[in-house]
Amino acid sequence: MALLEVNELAVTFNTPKGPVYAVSDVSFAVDKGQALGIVGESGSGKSVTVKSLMGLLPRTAKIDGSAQYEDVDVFNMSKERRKHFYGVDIAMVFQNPMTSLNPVKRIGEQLMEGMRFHRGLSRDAAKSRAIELLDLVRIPDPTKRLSQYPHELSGGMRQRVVIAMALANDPALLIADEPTTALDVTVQRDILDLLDSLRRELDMALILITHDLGVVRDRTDSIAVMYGGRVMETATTEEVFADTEHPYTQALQRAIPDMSMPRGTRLDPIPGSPPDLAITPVSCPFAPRCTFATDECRTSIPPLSAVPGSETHRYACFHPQGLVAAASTVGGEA
Amino acid sequence: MANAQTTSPLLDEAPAPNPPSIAKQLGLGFWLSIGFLLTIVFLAVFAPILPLEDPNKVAVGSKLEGPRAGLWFGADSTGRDVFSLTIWGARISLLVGFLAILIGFLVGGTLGILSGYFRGWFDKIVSFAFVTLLSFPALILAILITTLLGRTVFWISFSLGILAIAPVGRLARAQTLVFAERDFVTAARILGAKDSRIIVKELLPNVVIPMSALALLGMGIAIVAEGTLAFLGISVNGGLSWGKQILEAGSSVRNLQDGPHAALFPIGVVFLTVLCLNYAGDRIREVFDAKELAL
Repeated sequence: MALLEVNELAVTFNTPKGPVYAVSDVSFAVDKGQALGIVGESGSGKSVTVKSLMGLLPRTAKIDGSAQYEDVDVFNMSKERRKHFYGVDIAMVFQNPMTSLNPVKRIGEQLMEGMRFHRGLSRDAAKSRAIELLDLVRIPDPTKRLSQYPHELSGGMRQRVVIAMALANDPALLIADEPTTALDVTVQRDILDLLDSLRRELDMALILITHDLGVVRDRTDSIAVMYGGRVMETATTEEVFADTEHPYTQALQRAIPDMSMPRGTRLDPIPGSPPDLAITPVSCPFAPRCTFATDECRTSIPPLSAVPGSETHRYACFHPQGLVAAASTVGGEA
Repeated sequence: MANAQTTSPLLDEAPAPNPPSIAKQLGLGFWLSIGFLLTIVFLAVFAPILPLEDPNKVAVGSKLEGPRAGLWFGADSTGRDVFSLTIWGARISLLVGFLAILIGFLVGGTLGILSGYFRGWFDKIVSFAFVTLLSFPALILAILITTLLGRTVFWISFSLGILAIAPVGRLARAQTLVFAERDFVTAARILGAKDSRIIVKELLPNVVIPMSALALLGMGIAIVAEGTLAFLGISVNGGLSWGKQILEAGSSVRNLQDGPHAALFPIGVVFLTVLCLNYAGDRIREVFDAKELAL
């Protein structure tokens, strides 16, 4: 059974200029100990999806659909359950380590707060746990770090501390919202690899949010590609790369740089810009930028359909690329 | 898997050289200023038990006698000891400066942090109140309050404190806005922290630093403002203050020509006190702003 199952999630913001459909009809599931990558560009709804799960949306947001975490209905849980849900069952790593630590509090103090609150640990117990956590995220000389302030650490080091804070109460699910976007390129890989190995060590599920399809390729079990607040394609990581159905996923793939490309190769940018979510959706959100778009795409929303022969692979497109190619080969042989 | 990368002693993190301590970064000038201020405060607090001339005793020296050993600041037109007058004057001037800023901080700081944190209609009302206060002519307000409520130390401090509310409150609000948006606040909220805890434990320590710099600057302003009120003849009834002392010494052109020291010494002390307050406040701001930048 899935650890977290999100079904037909829709988030609408009522603004003075009318409703904004930030997320519509989003479904995905994460199994225990598995990693899910949510991929999409800015404004694709990936952060809003996560915020709705973490209870961080403003009251003005209207949430429809359901999210089931084990036996907990995430959007309708009791106050008591909620008190020890976030940070214990689901924890989160933020995008920017420069702002996710309090600049005037020592690392140790910040690490120990959560566990003392949720587990009622004594100061000494919390301290030894804090040292253990810093060691876990491979920070050298952890005892010394406890008494340091955030500005005394580098960006990568700070993100490790943020990860350690998230792990403090052994969450079963860790959500990392673009955990490396604010870091130097050389450190990004370290942090991603750290998250990956921690997930294996601690048998923890991971939702990795990113705009870089390349980031999730080797580090996730499944992928959901989002665009314009909708899921475009979802499948196991293998399927996404072996048999890409959605033109948007294809376009994203062409935008991944590869060291083996010959010199002077140009990456294919996707022309146009993301859709305006304030307009009531009546068409495939990607249609205006899609080379395969037909009138059908512009007048109706493609439903999520399954790829024949796969239980996991779904796509929202009238012109599934993999299937079209397969059909034409079959047709050619006949 | 790809653990070799992560377990190796982190390539990106060269051990940070120990930065100079905060005390060192603040510099000699800061500590000299603090030293001077502490001396003045010490003298003012312990004036009654220090071996000083009674500041009200006349003919301690001859009329407008110049400085000499035992009468370091000389004597004023009635022969009173100027040094003793200055020390006793510091009691009220410093108290007024401190009380005014305290009032400004308690009221302005609280309102500013709350409005910056909760936003919404509360913020709108508070911000409007701040703007209204700022647009009110300061001197008129001070004269109004002291005339209506009395010229005691408390009401004079109160009138200056009211004037401090808006600038302090606006700074507190702006700082709160900056930090309330940060992820560590969101993280605290995710962990189940209540608003009160977030404000006190997460936001307040961040907001207090720039505010403490403003407090020192504000005290200087309040001391000078008290002097201005005294010069207009509406300072503390009865007691001594720097403003009153300077007014008395400078009220007669004749006296000023014959013995300028009677006015110049208290003016010098006010000048040094305000300079030290400003310098110390500036240093605090610079040092801690740089910390913020390094983040």
